[in-house]
Amino acid sequence: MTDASPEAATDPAERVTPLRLAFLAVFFISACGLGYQLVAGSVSSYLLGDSVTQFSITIGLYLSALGLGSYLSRFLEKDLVDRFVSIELAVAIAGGFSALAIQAAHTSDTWFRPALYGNILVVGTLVGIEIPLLIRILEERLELKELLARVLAWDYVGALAVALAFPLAMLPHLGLARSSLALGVINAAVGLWTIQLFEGRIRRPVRLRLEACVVLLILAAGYSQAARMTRAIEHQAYAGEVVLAETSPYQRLVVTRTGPDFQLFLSGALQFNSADEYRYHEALVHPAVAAAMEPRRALVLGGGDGLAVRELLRHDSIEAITLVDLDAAVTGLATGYPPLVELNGDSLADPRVTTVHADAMGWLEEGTERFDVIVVDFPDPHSFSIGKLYTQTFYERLARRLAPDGAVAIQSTSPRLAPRTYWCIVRTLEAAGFFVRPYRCAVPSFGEWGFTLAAPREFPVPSDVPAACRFLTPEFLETLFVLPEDAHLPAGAPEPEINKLSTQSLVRLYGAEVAR
Amino acid sequence: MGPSRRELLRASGAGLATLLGACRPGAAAAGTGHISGRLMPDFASTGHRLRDGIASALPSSRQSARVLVVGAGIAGLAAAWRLQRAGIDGVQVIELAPEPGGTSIGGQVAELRVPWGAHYLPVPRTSQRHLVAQLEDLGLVQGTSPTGRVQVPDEHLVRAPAERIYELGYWEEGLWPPAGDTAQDRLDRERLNRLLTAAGQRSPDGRRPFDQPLAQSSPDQRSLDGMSGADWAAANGLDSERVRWYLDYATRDDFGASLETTSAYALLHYFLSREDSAGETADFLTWPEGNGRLVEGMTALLPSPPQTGQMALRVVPGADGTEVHALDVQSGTVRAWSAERVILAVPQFVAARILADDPHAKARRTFRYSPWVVANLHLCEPPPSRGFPAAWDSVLRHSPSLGYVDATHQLDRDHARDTVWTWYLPITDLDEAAARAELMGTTWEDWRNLVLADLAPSHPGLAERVTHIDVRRWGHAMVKPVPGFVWGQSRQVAARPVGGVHFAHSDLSAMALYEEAHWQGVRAAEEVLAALGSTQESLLDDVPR
Repeated sequence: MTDASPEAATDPAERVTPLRLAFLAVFFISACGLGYQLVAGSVSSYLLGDSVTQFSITIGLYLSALGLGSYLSRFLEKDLVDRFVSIELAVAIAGGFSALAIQAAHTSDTWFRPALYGNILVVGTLVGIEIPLLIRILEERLELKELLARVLAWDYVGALAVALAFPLAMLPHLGLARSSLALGVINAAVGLWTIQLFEGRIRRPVRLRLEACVVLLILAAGYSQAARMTRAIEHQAYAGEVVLAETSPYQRLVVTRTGPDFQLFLSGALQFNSADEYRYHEALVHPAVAAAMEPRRALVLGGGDGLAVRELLRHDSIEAITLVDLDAAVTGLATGYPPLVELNGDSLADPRVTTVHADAMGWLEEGTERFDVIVVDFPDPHSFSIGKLYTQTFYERLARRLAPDGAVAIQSTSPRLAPRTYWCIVRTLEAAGFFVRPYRCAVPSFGEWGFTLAAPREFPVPSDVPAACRFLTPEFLETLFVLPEDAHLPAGAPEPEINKLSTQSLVRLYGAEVAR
Repeated sequence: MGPSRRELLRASGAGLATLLGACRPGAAAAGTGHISGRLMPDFASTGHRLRDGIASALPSSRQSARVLVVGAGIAGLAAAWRLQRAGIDGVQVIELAPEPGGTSIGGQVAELRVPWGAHYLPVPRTSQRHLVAQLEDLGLVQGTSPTGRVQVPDEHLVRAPAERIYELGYWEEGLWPPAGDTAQDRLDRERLNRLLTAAGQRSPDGRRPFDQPLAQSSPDQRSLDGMSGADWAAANGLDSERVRWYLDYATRDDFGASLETTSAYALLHYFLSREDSAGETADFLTWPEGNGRLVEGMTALLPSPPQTGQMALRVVPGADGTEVHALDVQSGTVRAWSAERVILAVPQFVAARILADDPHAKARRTFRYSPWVVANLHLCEPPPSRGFPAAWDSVLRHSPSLGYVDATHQLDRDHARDTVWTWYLPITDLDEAAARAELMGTTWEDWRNLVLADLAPSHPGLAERVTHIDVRRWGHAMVKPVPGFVWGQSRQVAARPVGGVHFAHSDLSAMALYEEAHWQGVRAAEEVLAALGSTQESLLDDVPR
């Protein structure tokens, strides 16, 4: 080409405008392409927490899918514009619904990772085809040098625009599901617009227009129903029917029902099932009461459901119980949700019981009263704010509030599902100066569950249980302290690191052992 | 939050929620009008103005001390503590500000203790005996580790998670998250680690090239002082934008200076001076009020508390002791102190103004200082943030600020929803005097808007949760270790005693670090002990480690 204007080969009036507009299309498809990557990164950041590996995998996988798409584009030979429009519409659907699809798959342990990575691969591959295809469509209009320079320039500008808009505008105002649907709408609109721009080069304009309109309608429907769909996905996460859901400042409380039974979930983790919670709570409470020399004053940390308190109240020797739970929403259920009030025997209304809403770690440090029995029933250490309640410093404070001849029982996660977590808790208690006896029992809803009985002195395996127990008998109680072989750490496994405030190694350990 | 509630709020009068003290997330239209706060009084500049008019005022009273310490920052307090430990009577500390602490003071915002400046101390090695003795006196030492580090109670260490960074639209753990890394970033990180390992090699006599105290460093790497950190990075092929940012963050964080204006020696000192014998970096001691806790502890150890609101006007060394004229800021009267020995624990730009016939005034004028702004924001509840959960230190990747530290991170009060964030901004301009002049012309509203704009992208819904912002402007917050300054003559000349006057300040170590301020204070105190004929075992001896 000798002419200064690369577009001079054809009639400028007819060609200039579509070409410029085609570069605008590059801008939008690039913006959407990076947008889907950010959606996938954010969804995995929401759902997989602080797992940095996940971010890396998401981004790496997406980039390699782009490469795969670019390679595959060479096999498209005929009707390039038609193909391009079809690809746009496919990206619009696959990318637009990616956030909802990944969230929906999160309810399944088996399918979550395949769905996450599959979605990234599909969207990335489709997006990877877009630009090479568009370059080939525009190829006959422009010299390669000029074409590449312009397309790539708009490509990067588009990426920059969404890199700024996504975290600053889209995510805060639209949320994840609607952000990704909005990107899908843009892709579909680009498809529709392409039909307009290249009218003369399209084989089936009417049919493609129709398809584009259907896609836009589906996306718009999804957009308007995004909130409802997100809620529906949450319901699907629970085996039972969700009968109550509320969000406190600290956690999400969900009560579900299956037949005659009901279950409480805190931030997605099962706390009890009314069908078999008596096994858990009898095993948690009675050994500590039996190990204390004179069990009169009792303290329950966590356990706002009132079920541990119910077991304590079976002992006539217990004169006073203090319940410390951070979340008034949980104790509110224990006193105000009829099925739970019935289950816990309205334990929190007993005149012997005082309820306090406080951070247990600060509460221990503030007072001086000592207790004969302490029951520690916190959720599993899945976050740093709960993890601190399993640290050596916490147990040292606990020791200062325990009578010399008292005893503590600690909910210690499952020695079978999370053996290193379990033994880390046991060793941390020892590091805080306790003499410990690990024990466990089977709770069908949880599986094999672990506890630790601890005291500031050596003590024998307890064998006293109240008469009213449904699960424990004196003979059976002793067997809980015999651990099966698979509840121990494998021979030669390294000793778990003591859990400290400055490291919170337990939270990471638990995350690694229990991560889906 | 539904629009109906928003409408209700608007209809019931915009001020209602504020009057009730309620947290009102969702009231997006609230703007910033509900936020209270103030600029904290700036005693240093009040002092300058006063002194210009009063420097010639005649003293109306006289008092004597055996040793007078001028300045109750960390260096002054450490000097007084060292003298008291050696059993020297008649030591008095005077201080311009209304409370001791210098740039390590703590304060209070809405019932919560907050830091106003330096807010942590890396756990010292056992070889840093002056610090170990100090921490022992404060009851903070439990023992020593096999790798030569002091052991302190876990509850005084920074809790996990310590750090997170906001770069890609969500928070990630640490300062170097792998997400978004390019091959170049990874290679340059590895290269940086190799370079640091090589640079930190000890000399045959076991000395470290980057030590604390700085004075004990071997001479091996001093030539690095001749170039800037940026030149060093370029010369070593560290071209990754992320690695450059990280290095720049390090110099802004520790020295208040950009990578371009920081000596490469100081940059490497930041990374290498705190390792123990196993090559492990130090955990940090910290408290809600930052190093204000250490100030309080040290002050309590002194037999007589520092006299505050006392501005030294003039220091005249003489054959029979030194005379110090000090203005009582409250009464406007001038007191003449006569002291056998004086420790000037003030920055060199102040020493240059008040010391009569100063033979080293020229050296003192070469010291450069970076201004800082610190803001404490009270929030009625933590705003939402995406990704990694709240940490002690939250760093913003694309900001001139350093981000913020959660002042309640060490507290066990999860039941209370409110919190305080301490936001730090080093002002790294090349022309410090112009930057200071501009800084002193700013208003509280300027800083309210700037702080909120800085933090809003990483925390949607921030403004409606902020109830109060207090802002402190530090005109001379930190000495700058500019290229050539760390191992140049100026700071060594400036540290030489003039008659009976001794000098102690972190700027004499070229780095505004607690450890160096403390060391300089103890060094000056031991000079005085030697002059007074006291035969105490030194706390400064270099011991094998």
